[in-house]
Amino acid sequence: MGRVLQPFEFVEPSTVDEAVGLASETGSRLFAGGCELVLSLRRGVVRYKRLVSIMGVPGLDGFRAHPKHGLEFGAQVRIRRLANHIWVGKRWAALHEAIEQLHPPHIMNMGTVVGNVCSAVPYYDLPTSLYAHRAMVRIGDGRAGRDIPIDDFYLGPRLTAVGPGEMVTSIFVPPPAADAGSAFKKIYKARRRSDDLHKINAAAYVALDAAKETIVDATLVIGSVGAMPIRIVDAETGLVGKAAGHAAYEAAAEIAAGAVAPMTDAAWVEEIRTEWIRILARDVLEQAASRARSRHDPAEDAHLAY
Amino acid sequence: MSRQIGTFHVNGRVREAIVEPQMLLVDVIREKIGLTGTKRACASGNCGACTVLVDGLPVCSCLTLAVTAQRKDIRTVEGLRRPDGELHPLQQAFIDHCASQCGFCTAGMLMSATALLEANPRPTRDDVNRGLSGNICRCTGYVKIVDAVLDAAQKIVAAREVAA
Repeated sequence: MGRVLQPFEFVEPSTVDEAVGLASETGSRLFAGGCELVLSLRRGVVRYKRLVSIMGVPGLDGFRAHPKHGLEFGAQVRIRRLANHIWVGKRWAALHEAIEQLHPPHIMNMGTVVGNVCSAVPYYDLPTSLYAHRAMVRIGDGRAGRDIPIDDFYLGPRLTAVGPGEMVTSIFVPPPAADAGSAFKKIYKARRRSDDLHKINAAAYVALDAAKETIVDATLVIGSVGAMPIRIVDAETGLVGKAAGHAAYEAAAEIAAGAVAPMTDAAWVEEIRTEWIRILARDVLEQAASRARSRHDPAEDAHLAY
Repeated sequence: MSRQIGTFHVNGRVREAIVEPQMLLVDVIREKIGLTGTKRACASGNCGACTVLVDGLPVCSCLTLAVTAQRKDIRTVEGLRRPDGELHPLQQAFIDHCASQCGFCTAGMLMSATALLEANPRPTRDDVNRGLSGNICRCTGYVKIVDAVLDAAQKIVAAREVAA
């Protein structure tokens, strides 16, 4: 790791139009909190001639969290803003848990959520939890915008659906159903090969019917198992209509363990990894369902909403 | 925008330094402004030795570009001591509890603990563990550091109650 960074130009435009124009030139890159970017620059993973900071652009610092209308935050919103918000903790628990477990906690004060998502690093936690919440990514070029589901956002390692002349202006997370809960968990492991990843994370969202006995909707996501988090669609469809109980989660976890492609060639490593995926999937589903069951009437929290 | 004169508000004083865009905040604080209390260790945001407070919140100065910290309120370990030379209660508690051995992590520990006590004046042991979870110490085993922070918290609260 080099002691100093290679020289580059640092510009701070004042409109989205100008920012994406400057960033679309070769060797340019948009810059927000800079945690991932500064680290990659120093490690020599990437090299840029110009960094275009969006932190001075007005209109990108919007933040709104409402249990009925959803959660929306602009590209400048730092992770700390979400970490301390009561509604994020109550209604988007998987996202809250992923933020709580960030290491070091300093990153919350430095990085932005949109930057964390856009760096498209396969071992990050926030995208996994946003997959579980079915977030929508808003991409704009300063004039028009388009919304794409986060499932379609990643195209490969460090590769996203953001085209040249575009940037992610905000992320919208839809409100969860009335009787729904979510959870996020991760486990660290040793790297056995250079292309192996050092952890596995999982997030789930479970919505129950009014009697809180049957699963009506579910999302199960496993991250850090490839270039991007993956949704286990077979397990999700299998859960719908089942009675909320251990048997349903065990069955879904079994499907998840079978659905994730192997990453190592050593059979015994793969066996442990599959077991961890199974345990994580089971635990997040169980935790999410438990939160869905224990969640009280949202009307009781009405005085907290603005 | 290449080489420029950067304005930094460090410990309540305005400091100017010639900075380039690729310079890190830790290097500017140590080498241009001359406050060498802040340490540069892992330089990858893992160890917390470079922790400084920017607008009251702890950040890793080794992952912050100096140009982005201009005109923000930066506090380093040198700013903890009172102008009359009296140590901050946290610093005194670190001495009383022998909470630093080699001392390399201490500046970062003190800054993280300062931010913690400003946000939460009566922390529990768990709160302190969480607040210092971004700072690594290879010598002490953390017990004395946590003891020191808890002791300092009590003394700060007691002093405030006496004054009030």
